[in-house]
Amino acid sequence: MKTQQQRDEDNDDGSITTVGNSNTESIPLDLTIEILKRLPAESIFRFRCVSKQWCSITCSRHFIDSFYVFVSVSTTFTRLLEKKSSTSFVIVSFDVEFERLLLIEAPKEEVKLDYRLKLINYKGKLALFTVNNDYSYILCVLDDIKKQIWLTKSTGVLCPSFCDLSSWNFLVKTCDTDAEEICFVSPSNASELFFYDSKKNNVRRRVTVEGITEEFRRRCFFRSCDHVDNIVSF
Amino acid sequence: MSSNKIVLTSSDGESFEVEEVVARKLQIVGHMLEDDCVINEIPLQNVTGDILSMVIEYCKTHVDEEESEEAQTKLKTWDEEFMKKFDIKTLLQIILAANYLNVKGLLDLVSQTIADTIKDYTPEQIREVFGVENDYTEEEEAEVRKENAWAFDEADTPKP
Repeated sequence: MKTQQQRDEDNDDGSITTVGNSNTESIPLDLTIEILKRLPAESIFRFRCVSKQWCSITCSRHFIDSFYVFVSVSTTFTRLLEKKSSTSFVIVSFDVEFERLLLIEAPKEEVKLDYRLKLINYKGKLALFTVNNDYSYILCVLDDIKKQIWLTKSTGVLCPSFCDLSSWNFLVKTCDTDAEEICFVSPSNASELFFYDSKKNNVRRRVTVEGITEEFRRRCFFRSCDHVDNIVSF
Repeated sequence: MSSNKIVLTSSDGESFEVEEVVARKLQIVGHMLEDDCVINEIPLQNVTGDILSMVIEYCKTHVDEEESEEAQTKLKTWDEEFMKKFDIKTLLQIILAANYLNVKGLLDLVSQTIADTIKDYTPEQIREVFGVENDYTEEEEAEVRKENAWAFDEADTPKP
């Protein structure tokens, strides 16, 4: 009870933060971190400009690790399999937790199951992404896996200056916002990435991953079509 | 035991009579009750009446958390509606209260709500709302902005 009285006295000269009507209360560090680790990666990078302290919090090893944990990882693998007997494809999902196989019906009208189709993780849900010869693309999301309901999330045409890249492999990264980023990877040089903003129809960012040697680059190496938000700086 | 009433008093002298099970959702009260079982009036010096009433409203709703999916969905909807009522200033007061009173569920909920609210803020807005002083020099700030340019609006982003 002594601490209570102590706080009481402190309140009188206004030296302790009280939950009241004051507009300039400061939030304790632990609560600031609680809030920060719930933000999308993009906001965290922007908020590094707030102050030196905010920058050092979000650059710390501990924060980066906790942020990584906070972004949950799904427990199913889904693959597009080619039927040997015919030239058609099926989507098969394997639940690691329950060790069960599940056949997923593709949305019939919207997309044709072929080699160009990519399976991606869209905000934790399975989605199909494909670019056609005329550079139009379509993104369908499996909204309800039990009832197998597909929603067409976005369609569009890649902008002409970007067309030469449409034969590239692509990954899709989605943000928590409505904006969608499609990440293209060069087929010949995997260290080059392009982030394409499907809303604004232009290249938003161009990233070169450094430190990959020429010899390694020429070999075909694995690129995951899944993603996790991560704030580790290169 | 559940019919026991406890009076919680805020820093500005407002009193709330609540059932013991509700009061125990505030872990600070739970600990006091364990330490000394004959208290029935508890002064809470770090929280004002208007904020305390909101915390109590949350605790009353969450007093018996059922496991069933239906009940969980209903609670989640209630949480969302509840949070919609508050502006950012009030949310920050609630997070301070939830932390002081030690209400875990509310702390998680309000942290997420604040994160969702501020995610598109500019650094300037953050400084104002959080009362953070900008300790960068002009040059330093320009440098950090440049490093993280892609995270700003398109206007600030260099075209490739």
